[in-house]
Amino acid sequence: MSEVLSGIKILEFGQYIAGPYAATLLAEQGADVIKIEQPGGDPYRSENGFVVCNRSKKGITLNLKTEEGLKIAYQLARGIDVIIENFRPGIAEKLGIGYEALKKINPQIIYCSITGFGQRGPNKEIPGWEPLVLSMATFYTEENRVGEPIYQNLLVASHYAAFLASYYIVAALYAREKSGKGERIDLSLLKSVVAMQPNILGNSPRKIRFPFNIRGVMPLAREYQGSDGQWFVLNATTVGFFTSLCTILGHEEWLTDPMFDGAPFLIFPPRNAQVAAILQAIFYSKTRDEWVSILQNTPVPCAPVQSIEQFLQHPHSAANDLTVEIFEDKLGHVKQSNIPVVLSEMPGKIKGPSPKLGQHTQEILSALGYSKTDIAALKYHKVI
Amino acid sequence: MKAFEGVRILDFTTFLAGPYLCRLLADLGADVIKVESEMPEAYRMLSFAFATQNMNKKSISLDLKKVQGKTIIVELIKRSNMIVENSRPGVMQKLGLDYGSCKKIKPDIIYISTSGFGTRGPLANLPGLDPMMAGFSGQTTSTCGPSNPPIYPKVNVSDVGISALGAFGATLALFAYAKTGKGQKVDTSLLHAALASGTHLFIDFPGIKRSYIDEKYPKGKSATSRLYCGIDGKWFFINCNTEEDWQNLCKSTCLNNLISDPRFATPQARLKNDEALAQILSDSFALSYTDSWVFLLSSNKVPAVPALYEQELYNNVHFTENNVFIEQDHPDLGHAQLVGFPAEFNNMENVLDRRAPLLGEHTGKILSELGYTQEQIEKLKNDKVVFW
Repeated sequence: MSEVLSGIKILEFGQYIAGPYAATLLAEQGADVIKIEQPGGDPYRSENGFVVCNRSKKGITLNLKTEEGLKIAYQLARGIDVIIENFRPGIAEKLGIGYEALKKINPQIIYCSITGFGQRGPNKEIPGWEPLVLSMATFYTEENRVGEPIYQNLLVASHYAAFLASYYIVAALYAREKSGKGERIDLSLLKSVVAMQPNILGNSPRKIRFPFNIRGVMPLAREYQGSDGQWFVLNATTVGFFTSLCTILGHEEWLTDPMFDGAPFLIFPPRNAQVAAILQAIFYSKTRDEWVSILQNTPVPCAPVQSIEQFLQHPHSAANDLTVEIFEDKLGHVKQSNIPVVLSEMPGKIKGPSPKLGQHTQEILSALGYSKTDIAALKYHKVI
Repeated sequence: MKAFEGVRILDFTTFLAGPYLCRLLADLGADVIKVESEMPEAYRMLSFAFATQNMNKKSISLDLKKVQGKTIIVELIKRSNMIVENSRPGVMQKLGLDYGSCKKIKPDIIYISTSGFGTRGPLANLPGLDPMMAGFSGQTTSTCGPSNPPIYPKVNVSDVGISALGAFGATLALFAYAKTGKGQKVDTSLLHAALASGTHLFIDFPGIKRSYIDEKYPKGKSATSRLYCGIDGKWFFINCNTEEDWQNLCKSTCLNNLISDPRFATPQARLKNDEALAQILSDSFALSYTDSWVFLLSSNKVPAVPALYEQELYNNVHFTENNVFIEQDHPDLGHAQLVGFPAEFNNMENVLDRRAPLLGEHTGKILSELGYTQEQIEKLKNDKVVFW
């Protein structure tokens, strides 16, 4: 059987991660994606991550600031199902490829915008750089961590926005089957990273707040160090797991010890730090690997803290087809994330490496009916 | 319009990933029944999280190990379009509710299965909990490298990754069903979600150079992309990416001399003298209030925002104007603000039908919809087959 989105056509005006990766997630479930880049290309091309976020699509360069360039974009938009753009608010409109403009050309269009800070509010003009978004969304700060915020090199908002965009785009395609109506989907990195915290954010006078710590949130679910200085994650977050832990450590009395009241989740300050200290003292008695092998033979969940390389090379990762190797001219064989969602009857397919800048310009223009001479003229006039 | 009007989902999930996956589907109008046993699921202890991840759902509570309980579930499966489960490998088989069994009951069922450590390999039987994956995947060592202590991220990246990726997969399966009339199984795992949440990190090729920040408590990538602290002890992030940003930064901090200082004149020079620059800027920023800095920097087009604390979000104008939180009355929480809808639409509707259900709150109603009489329902309750 073919892929679910076979026959769906997508135009992507994307840069960096959120827009492009959404398009790749959809491309690998069968959609045909054309990535439109401005002269100079997606600035993310200078980073290694570009190749992952742009697999399985075709690329065309187009100077949207020229009349001819915009005309080509409109021609492409005519037969398209989905548009994805992640400019700052107002930029797509300024370029002439905003929702209203493209809806006139193609009334059933599904148009997905991903901004940094949203279309409204005092911060909407701030460029949506990930660390700025994460700062606003409390990712780096929490009162009881170390008293100071801690930066992390994670780009989770951009990736999550890509997941959500691909979800809502398919939902809109599904709805369009019934209603015949197009859709405008409006996402932001800020709301995406808020959406990543359903278990953390929220407010009412009755809210009980969990103190964060650089090693984890709760004493029974955090990182501990073995005698060799290596780390592992303990994750005893059910009553059953906690009971097993007490047995294995020879401390059944903890089950009735007021120090552990509220286990597994609700051990509050100051007891949380005390419990963590008790456990850490015990875990210092053996090496990390000894603890991991002891605990992994019991119901108590635990896992070693690894480096990225160790994770990618772990036999378990290979057994689950987590990664694929794709040849890229510039980098060679690149091991990277495989398709993250697999349908049993219609699994997706990686269609090829990321396009070189303007790699398919000619092919795409020919398909629109441009002759070789036309294309040469467009190139001469720096439209393509 | 409700995109998923008429789509019926049986939600067997617990904790975070699965329940939130089903909530994302319920947000667009799917009719979700949360199936629980007599024991409330563990996450009910965390009332805020539970309320957010389970809004818009109904709850039925029953004993699946009893014959009559199983009969009820079979009837519910027959009238459902989709099943979502996130139990450990083998658990659904034991209950007779794995994909194969459910397909026999309802041949066109869509079955969403999210696991922790995948379905194969030496660790497939480990319980799949997000903190384990944060450590195992390299997330916690990705900023400062494996020779520094790991940093646990505040957000359960892989868990919520599953929620969105699973909702994506579920919708793909629905879209396919609309065309082919056939159901299928959809698989994803914490492993997949971890990788897909960090495509820039989880990449390898001969000669790759990984750059780590060699600090215990890192503040940023460089002096011009970093957290700084004002005189009031509040923090903010500046992120200069262009030469123009850099010059604006110097001008707005009255450090114009830095623009021509050979130590900082080019991006390469700034990188080389990063520590010195960070020190100069830190000293400078320590002289005034964070809010004043953010205002001044923003007015001069330097990308800068405050690093907010959780309790600052709920009255923040920018958050309010973007409808980030929704308000709801809840028996356990009182009047609460909860994480709202991630996206806005022109046609599709973000549905807010009901607060998260109490344990078994809709058991009686669901049973009478299945045709059970009041008398039969009472008997099932007395026989401890169903609960509320």
